[in-house]
Amino acid sequence: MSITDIFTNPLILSMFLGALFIGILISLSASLLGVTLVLKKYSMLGDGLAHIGFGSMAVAALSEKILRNKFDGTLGDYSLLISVPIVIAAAVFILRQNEHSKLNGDSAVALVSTSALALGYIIYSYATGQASDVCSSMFGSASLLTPSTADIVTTVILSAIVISVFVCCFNRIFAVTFDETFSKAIGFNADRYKTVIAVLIALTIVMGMKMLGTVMISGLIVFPALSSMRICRTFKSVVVCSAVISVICSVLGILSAFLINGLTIGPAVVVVNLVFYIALGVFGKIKKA
Amino acid sequence: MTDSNDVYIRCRGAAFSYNGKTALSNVSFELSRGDYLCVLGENGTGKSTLVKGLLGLIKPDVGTVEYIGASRSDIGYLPQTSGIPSDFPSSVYEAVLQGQLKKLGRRFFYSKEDKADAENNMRLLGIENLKNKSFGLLSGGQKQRALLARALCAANKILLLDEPVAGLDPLVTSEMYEIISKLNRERGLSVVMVSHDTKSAAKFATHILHIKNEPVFFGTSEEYMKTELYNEFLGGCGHEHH
Ligand SMILES: Nc1ncnc2c1ncn2[C@@H]1O[C@H](COP(=O)(O)OP(=O)(O)OP(=O)(O)O)[C@@H](O)[C@H]1O
Ligand SMILES: [Mg+2]
Repeated sequence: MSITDIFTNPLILSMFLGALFIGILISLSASLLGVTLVLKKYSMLGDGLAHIGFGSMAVAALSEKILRNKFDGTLGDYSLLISVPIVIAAAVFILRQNEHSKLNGDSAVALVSTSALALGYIIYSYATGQASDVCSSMFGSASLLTPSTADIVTTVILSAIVISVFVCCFNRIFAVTFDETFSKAIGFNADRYKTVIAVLIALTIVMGMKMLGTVMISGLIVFPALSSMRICRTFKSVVVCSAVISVICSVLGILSAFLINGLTIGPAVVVVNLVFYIALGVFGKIKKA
Repeated sequence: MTDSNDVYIRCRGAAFSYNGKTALSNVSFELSRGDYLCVLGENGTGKSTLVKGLLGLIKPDVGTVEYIGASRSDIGYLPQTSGIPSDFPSSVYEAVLQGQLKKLGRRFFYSKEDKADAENNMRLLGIENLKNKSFGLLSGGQKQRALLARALCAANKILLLDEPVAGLDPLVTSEMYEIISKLNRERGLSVVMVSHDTKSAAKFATHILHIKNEPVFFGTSEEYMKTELYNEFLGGCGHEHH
């Protein structure tokens, strides 16, 4: 495919614009939360939650199979109704672990996520009988499709929630990220905002899972934050810069997935992020020198 | 003479422990409006534990810590060690502004007054020129001042300081004592300060609490200067000079 194909073929154009629209919303949400996750040393949380999301999608596939057999009717795509609560519950569980348990956050992530991945894989293969389905849910859809209206509506609603809550709670999220103990000491309800952060992350993961795949979404969360931290020194600038980098990388990644045959969006976006990370590292070194 | 609303915090027989091991017990004292209380004691005797207990970061096993004329939102806190990683991307201003957190109330963003207040406190501690510097890149003493400015932002009624002058040079140390004393007198803040500097404690504080895993002395500094504890310390000092 060439650039002109994208803009002359109306079908491809609508696919491209749809992917771009959804991609930008997801990358904005992911990059904002990524800053807090990276700084709280919870980089792997996104990865773990995505595995749980994979498990929940498997459960959805299985229940769909059972219900189809029983009712023999067409069911809408209700996998979100199953994924959202499961991933939120897992996020809250993991983020609030360190308060009252001997299991530290890192181990909790590893434990819960591998179990979910393993169980999810078994359930998935049983429910669908196809390995390719598993592959596409891990690395994102192999084929480029016009996003359905339902996909677009869900993404718009979820990302609107994530972005607006993040912006409104910016100062509180900074407080929890920068120095949780101090926040608690002056009578601030830090646990409540940790729960808010957990819910926002869960929503972001669920949004991104379909398009980028469960293995790739975590890259979208940590890369922009790490990249911007190589050139910015204040919290606000890191957040803004990370959002900008993330959107640029997603646009470039999606564009290359359309231009290069056989390239899927998830890995493409992650690789562009990697390139930016390396480039900004070099730039940061040069600036310092 | 003290009206009950003038009592800010009242501890009654409070004991604190970590994983079932008691670190501090039998604490009873009152902190009233305008008090300047110095907490003295050797390393590991429970001073920071007491501070965390007063803040509600750890709960007493037995006894009570009661807030009467003040609430937990009226406290500014300077931790002994902050635990903020040095690579955390934050400007000094952003760090200080965290002290205004409780003033947000139901609002989302800081008001002009909140910001101006933070800047005033930075000026008071002589760090206004560091405003846009990266917090992680400050020297130990500069960090300490920034964190004290943050504590001041939060301190409506009470200032809890866990070894505020540790790591500061002698000049800055005496400056810091002057500032704290001035805040105590002029803003009417009650101060609780953990310290190893017995002499300055006796000079500036109104009250002394000396602990050795439980209080061994609580009273005014004049009374403290008449005790064995203080003379022991002076004796120790005199000994060093020979
Ligand atoms: N988080 C913790 N977990 C377990 N034990 C602790 C913890 N914090 C303190 N302790 C123990 O409690 C006791 C009192 O500690 P604390 O920090 O209150 O001492 P301190 O008087 O502040 O000492 P320093 O002068 O060195 O600051 C010590 O024996 C210490 O080992
Ligand atoms: Mg201590």
